[in-house]
Amino acid sequence: MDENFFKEKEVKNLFFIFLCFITACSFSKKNEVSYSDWDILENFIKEDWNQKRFLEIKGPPHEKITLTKEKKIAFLYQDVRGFQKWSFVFTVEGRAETVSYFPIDEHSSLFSDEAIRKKWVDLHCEIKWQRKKLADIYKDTKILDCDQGHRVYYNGRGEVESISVDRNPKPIQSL
Amino acid sequence: MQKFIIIFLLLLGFSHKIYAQCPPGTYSISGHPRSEYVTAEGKYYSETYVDQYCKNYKNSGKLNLKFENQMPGRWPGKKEKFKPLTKKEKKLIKKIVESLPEKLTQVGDLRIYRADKSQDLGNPATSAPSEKIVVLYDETFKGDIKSIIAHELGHIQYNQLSTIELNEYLLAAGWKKADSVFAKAPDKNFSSEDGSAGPDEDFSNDIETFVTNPKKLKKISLKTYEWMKTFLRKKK
Repeated sequence: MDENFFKEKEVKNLFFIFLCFITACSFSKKNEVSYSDWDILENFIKEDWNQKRFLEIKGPPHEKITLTKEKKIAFLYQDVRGFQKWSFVFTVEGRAETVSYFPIDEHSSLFSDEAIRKKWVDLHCEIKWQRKKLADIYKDTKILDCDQGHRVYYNGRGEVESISVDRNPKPIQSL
Repeated sequence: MQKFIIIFLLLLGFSHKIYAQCPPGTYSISGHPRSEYVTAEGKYYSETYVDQYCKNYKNSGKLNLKFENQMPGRWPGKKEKFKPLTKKEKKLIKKIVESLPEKLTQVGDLRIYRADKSQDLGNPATSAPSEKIVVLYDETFKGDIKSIIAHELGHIQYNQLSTIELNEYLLAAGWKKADSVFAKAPDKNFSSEDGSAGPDEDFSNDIETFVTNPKKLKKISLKTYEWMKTFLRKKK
C-alpha cells in the first residue's frame, strides 16, 4: 500500500471527526441556557412555564397527547432507547399543571430515594400507601407525599418509578 | 465533553447494536456515568463510567405455595365467603403451576385462598399483588384454570418488575404515561379487550395469552411477543 492511501484515510478520518464536532457544537448551541433535569422538575410549576416558554427550553416533544377526560394536553419525551423519560401536562389554555420524571436507569444515583429526600429536605414529606381496585386486582402503591405537590411513586420493588410536581395534587386515600 | 462522547457514540449507531445483544432471560443495562456513593453498610464506591452489560431479570425466588383457609386480613371484599381448598383442588393447582414457565412462577411465597364467588359478577379470581395473595372462586374451577392462574401470576409479576423491566414492557406494548394517566398507542392491539383499562391488566392478559396461545400474541403484537419470550426465558 502506498503513502497516498494512508493520507487519504487520515483526511477522511479528520473530516469525520470535524463533522462530529460541528454536530455537537450546533446541538449545544440550541440548548445554550441549559437546565438540569432537577431544574426542570422544580421550575415547571414554580415559574409557571407556559407552552411557548416550555418549548423554547425543552424543544419539541416526541409525542403530544390529548387527555380528553381530564381536558388537558401532555407533552411526552423519551430517551435514546425510546423509554419515556418525561411527561408535562398543560391545561387546554396552556398553563403548566404537572411534571413527571421517570428515572429509567436503575443505577442512576441522581434520582435515588436518598438524593430526592436530600433535595426536598425543606419540604414536609410523609410515606402513604394508596389502594386502588383495578379490574381483578387490589393495587397498593407506596407514595412519598410532600408539600407543594411534590411526590415520589415507588414500584413494587421499592425503586423510584416516577417523581412528580403537581399544581393541584389529588389527595391520597391512605390505607 | 460528556455530551460530545454521547453524540459520537450515537452517530456510530453503537447504542442500538449493544442493546440488542443480550441473551434470553437477560436485559441490557446501557453504559452510564456513576457518581461516587457509600452503601448503608459503609462500603465506598468511587465515581466511574459503567460499561454496558447484560443483567438477569429479577425474581423473588422459587415459588412456595401456601393454601389458606380464612379470609385474608384487610380483604376489601367483606361479603365474600371463604372456605378451605379441597385436596383435589390443591393437587390441580400444583400440577398447573408446574406446567407454567418457571420464570412466571418465581414469586416466592404465594398465598392461595378459596371463596364461593367474587363480589364482581363472573370474576373467577382476584389478586392483591403487593401482598402476593390470589383468591380463587368457584368460577375458576368451571373455566380454563391454567389461563386463570397464569393471569393472576402475571399480576404478581407485574408488581415485581424493576423500573427498567417495566419501561421495556411499556415500550414493547405501546403504553405511555401522562402524569398518572396511561395512554395507549393509536395502533395498539390487545390480547383481551379489558387490557385497554391499563398496563396492569394488559400485561396479565399478554402473559396469559403467551402461555396458552403464543401464536395469537405473536399475531397481535410481535414486539410484545418478543419481549415476553425474553422475559419468560423461552428460546423458541
